[in-house]
Amino acid sequence: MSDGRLNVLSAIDRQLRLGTLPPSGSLQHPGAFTSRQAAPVDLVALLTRELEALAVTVHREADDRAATARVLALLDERGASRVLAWDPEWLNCPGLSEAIDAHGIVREPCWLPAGAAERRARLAAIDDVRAGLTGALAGLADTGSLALVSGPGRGRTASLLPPMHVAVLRADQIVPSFGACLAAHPHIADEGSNLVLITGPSRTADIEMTLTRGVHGPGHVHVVIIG
Amino acid sequence: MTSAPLNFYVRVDLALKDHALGAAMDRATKKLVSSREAGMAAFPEADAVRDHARRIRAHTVGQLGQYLRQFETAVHARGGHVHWAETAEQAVAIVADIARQHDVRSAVKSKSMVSEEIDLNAALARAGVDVLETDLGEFIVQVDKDHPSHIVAPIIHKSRHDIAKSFRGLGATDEDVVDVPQMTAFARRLLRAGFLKADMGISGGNFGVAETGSLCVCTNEGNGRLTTTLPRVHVALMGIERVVPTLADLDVMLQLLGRSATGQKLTVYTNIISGPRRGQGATGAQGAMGAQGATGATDESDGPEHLHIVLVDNGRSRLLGGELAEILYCIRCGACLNACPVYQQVGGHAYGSVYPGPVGAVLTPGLRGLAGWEDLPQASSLCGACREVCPVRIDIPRMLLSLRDESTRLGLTPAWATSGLRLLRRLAVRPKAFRVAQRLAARATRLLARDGWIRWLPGHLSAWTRQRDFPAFAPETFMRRWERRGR
Repeated sequence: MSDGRLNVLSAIDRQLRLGTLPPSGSLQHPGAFTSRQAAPVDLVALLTRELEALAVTVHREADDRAATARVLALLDERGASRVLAWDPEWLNCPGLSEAIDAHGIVREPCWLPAGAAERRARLAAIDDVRAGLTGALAGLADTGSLALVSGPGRGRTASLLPPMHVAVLRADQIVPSFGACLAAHPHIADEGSNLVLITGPSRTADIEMTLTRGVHGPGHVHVVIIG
Repeated sequence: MTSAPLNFYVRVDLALKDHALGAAMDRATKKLVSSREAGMAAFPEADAVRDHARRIRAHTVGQLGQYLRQFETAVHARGGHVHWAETAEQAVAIVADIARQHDVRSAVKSKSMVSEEIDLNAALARAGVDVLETDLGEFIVQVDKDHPSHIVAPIIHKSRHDIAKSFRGLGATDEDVVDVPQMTAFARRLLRAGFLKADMGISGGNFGVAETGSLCVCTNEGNGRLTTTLPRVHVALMGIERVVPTLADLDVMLQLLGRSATGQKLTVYTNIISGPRRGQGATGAQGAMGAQGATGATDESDGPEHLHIVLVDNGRSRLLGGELAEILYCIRCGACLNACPVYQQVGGHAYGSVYPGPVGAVLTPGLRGLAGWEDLPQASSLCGACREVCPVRIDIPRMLLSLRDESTRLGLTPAWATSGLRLLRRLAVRPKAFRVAQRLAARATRLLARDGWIRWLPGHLSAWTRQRDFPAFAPETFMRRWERRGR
């Protein structure tokens, strides 16, 4: 379809050259947006408030041991015998994976095979896993969002397929906004093929504007903040 | 794009007589308007961000060729494919070709207005591909063989009882349709089965980022993520105007999109996709990899093996550099629909186009030509509510006027309206004649009126009184009163 490419691009260039409204090339890019707002002082408090407003449950834990105990309790509450989990080094909590193993809960990796039949079989096998466990790249305080980047050992399905998602985050990973996150990670698009900002549980209001949670993605989201 | 089977005014009549539709529209638009207002009120820098976003859109649209080339190069560098479609026919042929090439039998789709515009589902069905709509609203539209009536909330014209009836047709029990959460759970189960077996996922694209070759797909339900994660192949359809220069610019747009659409600070899942899954699995050569075997340390765990982005022109490039170029700044938030007093009354279907409301009244004639759509720019009181709420401050009323002007020049405006306006112009520049005409009109309208209101007007003017009463002219003209006051 190289003809399509040539034709579309030459039509665009011709129209912009001939056009007068607005004059081609005269409108400069406005540069970066500079906020006049004062930076928030307590990022943990702001993130917590925003998450809770979205019906996300926040657990503030003092250290890795307390966080591990909290995650195990959440998995037990859910009756999860398996958990779709990121690899240990990405969970932001040393010792958590080992503790899950010792607790008798099976950690399922997010791996999907490339072949059609194998892929379908793997998806069928993990469809009914009741909980997903991830770390996060950052917490975005002003919108109550989690930023997750995909990669080896960091599958997208962990925060997507099961009805409950537990994310573990260290307090020093919280930034004021998505803009601050981009500034801290200038090559974020090189880090993984998928960056997702998760802002609350899956929701819909399509039927009579009635808010309902958990339509396709997790209806229950827990954020465990360490420190 | 569906072409309207009925005359616009006939469709408006039908809509206004449908009381259930009226109640549903009233409930939905009020809710959406107040959600947006609350979201914007809690956003201290809203005005500055809107000004900034407008300048980004104006700059990008003014350099569109350059940014699309940059976007294409960046997508290629990440292993994705870019296709260019001049027309709807080319776009559906490209998608059907991709499906054939990857041996696709079934596809899942997340919401895409462009796919409605090019009537993709019908074309894929002809190519032997089953397409399942996965946005809850769009799924119900598909089950009912209906059309969406809002670009963000597709089924605001339906009640839960309508939907319960449709679900029963799909095997839902009494328990399944007892309330909205149960109905949602029923749809989730049906759609999950479709996701697990689909070979291809089709999505729209809210934005393309030129600097990184990223595609941004926003959904609240999570169907956008499932569509772009589970199937082997991901095809994204995007209008050529949806590109922004950088991720920082995307951030500015995202601050406005959710707030303008539903009052949310961000859509629940803001999904930014930079190429297909990375690593050797992505080549597809290792098709028989086991669940845990052969996971090279550099391979991403999941995601599609192939990414195809289809850039759709379909009339957009013609708008560049002209009176209507500004409509290409639009980020499809739907705020102008909710705010429009005409849309609030008649709903989306009356417009007969995939894009209803004020934005559609400009975009539809812009993309498809005025002939056949010349009534849409008339469906506005020019009150300016659309311009007021637009996150990128598009001057929709200006473009509606320019389209009205064009339809008169093309001879598409009805003769009685043009000759009526010509008569008015002749009178308005002759003060004496104008006063005589005023006195005659006052007398005539008082003869027709009862209790000060006219319930029936003759001839072409009857269109007015079919839906509403017309007030009788005051017995004394303003000029007369002014003179008396001066004395």
